[in-house]
Amino acid sequence: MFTEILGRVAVVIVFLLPISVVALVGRDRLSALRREWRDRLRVSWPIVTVLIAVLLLNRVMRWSARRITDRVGIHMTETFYGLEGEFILVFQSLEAPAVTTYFTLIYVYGYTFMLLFPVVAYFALSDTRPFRRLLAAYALNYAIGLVFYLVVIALGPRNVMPDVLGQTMLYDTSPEYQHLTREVNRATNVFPSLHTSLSATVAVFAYWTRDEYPRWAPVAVVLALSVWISTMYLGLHWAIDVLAGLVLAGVCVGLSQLLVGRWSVTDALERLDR
Amino acid sequence: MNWNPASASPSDEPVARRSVLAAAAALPLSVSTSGCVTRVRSVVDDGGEQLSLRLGTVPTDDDRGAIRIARHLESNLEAAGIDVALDVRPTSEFLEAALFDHEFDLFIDRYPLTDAGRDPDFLYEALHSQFATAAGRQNPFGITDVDLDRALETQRRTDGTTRREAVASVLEYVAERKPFEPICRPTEHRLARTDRLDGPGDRFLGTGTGAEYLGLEPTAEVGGDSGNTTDGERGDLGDEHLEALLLDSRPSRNLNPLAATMRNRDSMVGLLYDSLGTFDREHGKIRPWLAASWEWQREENEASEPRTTARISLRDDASFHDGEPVTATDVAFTYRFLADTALGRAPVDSPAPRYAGRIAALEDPETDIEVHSETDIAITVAAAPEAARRIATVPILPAHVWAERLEGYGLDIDIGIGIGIDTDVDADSDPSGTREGDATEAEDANGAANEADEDPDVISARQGRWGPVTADIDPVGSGPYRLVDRAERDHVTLERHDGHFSLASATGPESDPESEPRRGDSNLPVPAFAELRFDIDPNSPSSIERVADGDADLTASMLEPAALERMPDDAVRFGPDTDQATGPNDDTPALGHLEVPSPSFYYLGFNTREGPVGNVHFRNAVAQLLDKAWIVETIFRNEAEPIATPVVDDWIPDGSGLAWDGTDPISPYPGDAGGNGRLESPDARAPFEERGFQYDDAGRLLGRY
Repeated sequence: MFTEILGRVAVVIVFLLPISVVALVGRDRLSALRREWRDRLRVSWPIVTVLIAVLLLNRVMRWSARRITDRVGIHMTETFYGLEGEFILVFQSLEAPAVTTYFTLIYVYGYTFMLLFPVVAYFALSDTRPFRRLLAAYALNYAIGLVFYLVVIALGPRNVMPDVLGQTMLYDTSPEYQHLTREVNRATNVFPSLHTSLSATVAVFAYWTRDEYPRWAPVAVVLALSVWISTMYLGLHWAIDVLAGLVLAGVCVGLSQLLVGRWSVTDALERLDR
Repeated sequence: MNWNPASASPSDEPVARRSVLAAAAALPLSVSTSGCVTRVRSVVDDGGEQLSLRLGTVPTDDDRGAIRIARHLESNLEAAGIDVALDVRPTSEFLEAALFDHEFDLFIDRYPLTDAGRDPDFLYEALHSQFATAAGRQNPFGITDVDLDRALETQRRTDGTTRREAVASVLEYVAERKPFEPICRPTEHRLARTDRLDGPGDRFLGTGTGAEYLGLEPTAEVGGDSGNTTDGERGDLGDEHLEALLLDSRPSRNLNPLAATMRNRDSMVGLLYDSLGTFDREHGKIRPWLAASWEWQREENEASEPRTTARISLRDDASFHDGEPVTATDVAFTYRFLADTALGRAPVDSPAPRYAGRIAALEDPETDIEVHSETDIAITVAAAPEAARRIATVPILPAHVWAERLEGYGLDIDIGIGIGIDTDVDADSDPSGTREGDATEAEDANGAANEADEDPDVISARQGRWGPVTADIDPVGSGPYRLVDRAERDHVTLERHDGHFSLASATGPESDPESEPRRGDSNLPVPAFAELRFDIDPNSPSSIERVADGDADLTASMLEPAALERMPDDAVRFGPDTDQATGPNDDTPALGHLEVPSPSFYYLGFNTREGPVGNVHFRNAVAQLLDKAWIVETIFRNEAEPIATPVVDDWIPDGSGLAWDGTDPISPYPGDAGGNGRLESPDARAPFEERGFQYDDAGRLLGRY
């Protein structure tokens, strides 16, 4: 079941990505990429390595770190629910089968596309800084998010108020997707919303690179807004998780600007060689 | 918050406060209980604080019925002017908070009863004061009452009418004093591939003990011989696999049979472990299983209190998964260990957090268990034969495996109980392997070991919480299936224990280790499937879809009622009253929709130890806020029956007024029962006001009580 869903996502992405790359990135940049990809990778490999390491760590820790969570974890479901109550029901006013389908597609496919497209698009820029900063911001999002997941034990709205979310809860309307999300996340990891923080990160970068990719910027902003609303509409996150996700995105984007380009690993290695 | 803000006056102003007090003083208060006197005084003291409660339950993923009942209660409590903190935690954490740490004032749970739980003796462990301070499944309510204890003991020690009368008085106590409030008894629904399984409709009538998987046969279509043992055929058992879907992930994380937060009912434990007896649904009583035969004899000599002695002959062909035979030593060890997991070596006894109610019938585990030979043992319990048999339903643990395990906790078993135990254990049966460290209790284990260093004869064994009864283990039992593989939150895979006594090739001179396992001569149900794979799928709709698509054979857990609308139309319904066509024929439907009423029930638990919930009048008022008719109709889609008392119908005393008669006979809902499930504030406040509880002029129930 899991592989089937994963396959479905992969097919959609494999279909969407080349089209959007050709349409939004343009042939000139792609042919430049074909000539220069080795040089660009030579500059960028340290951050690529860091990101892969963080993703692997994230995967291992979320499952095997129960002991840490048992010791330091704080139950926060009651606090979040106590603070915001049924606030996210404001999005339920949009409820309609077509809207549910839209947000479901956004949550699963739109989000995946949103994370992958800029990786390709920024690698196609001759200036590697946006690429390296984006990967750094991704790595920071996952790393900081993981710390919160270990410490905060919180269940999402769908687990607390199924009575009022019944029509739009993702796993009720599309149970197959629970197999996908179950592989990457646990029900008690809702704070902060990484869907929100990563999509916000992408949107900020899209705004910064609006001169290079003028058509991507509005697409990214619309996608990001849709992802934020989808997490609450589908009952997966509290508004607090989404707010925390936005704050996390701000921190990660800021740090990526501060850190990337400050030290050059390749220069340091070359100096060592001499 | 549901009180009407429009009606709220500036209540913080001293003038308004005084006028309330004046009004209170002028009114002829209906002081019906002594408790009210303190309540009145607290108002005079300025009881400005709103009363607040913590209500605990489990998330939608774990039990949609429970969280929805909790939300319903939360809304009505708020309408009654009470501040509610709804605290939702994953099941194992919820149970830890409710059963061990007593963190909630109120909690919604499902009481784990199997078919054997149709006997009202389960009320003993639910309510006896001896468990009030202990951690574990027993008496989480903290109820202590001498008369109640006496009634519980009487029902255990007597048979016939005397017992019925004692049960009736316990039920009256529950109705009046409300240690908990029973809500409803759900119907369990499952979906099975009847083109692959033979007889699931029969087997799954009794559920929750593991016994339902025995006798479940592959159909001829998939290569089984369809269990036609009645015509004397002794076919080889095939190598068929059964893929079952489990909603609960806990068995994939922890398989310690004694871990109270990891178990509800015992299918997995029942498959891995044998017990001396097993519940026979057909005759409604417990019959020998690991025991070859037994005799229960009432002893009424010198002692004034009647006792029962069970003289048990064990099967000589039963063996544990590591090949060691099951002997009387293992049985004696099991009962002594469950009675005190520290085996007398801790300053105070440390009873296991599960099975304690049954084990409590053993007055002195040292003298009341007599091992006569390898296979003969006598157990004397403080109970009449009827209730005494419940002691035969605990899993029998291998003494040699646990001896080695306990050594890791600083407990040297030879000193502990002084029975000769062969400690020559296979390396691969070592249960204290790497997983042990996963548990939080590892530090307790260290603590135990450290103290043992100081004094080799004394260990610290924190009751219910120390490693041996909480940490995960590689389970070694003698049950019909043994563990081969599992992955956390993914699957648990069991394999047929070819040495099980129900199989012909078990032991004996003519057995050939190379041959396929065969059915035994006896009429025992056999583990017909070579492998049982329990795939964890926490989603009912997806489980239904997977069985319908042929991706799995059976939904092992009870499906949530809200998902039943997704049941395939061509699934043929099998219920307890359905005449089922057994045996393979061309008309065999592809899918079976199994339906069985469950003895287990949803209840609202009260933590009576402290706070407002310690007040019986308060509990009675809260119980009234549950609209059981609405709960059954809306949350359970009529797949449940509302109840007012926790026992099955046979045990409800005639004319007691405890039977559900369309409305709740004891705690009537103050609003329109079966309406919309939401009380208006005046209706919700009425049960509290009638009992003399005080409100401020903003409609908040005052926090002093």
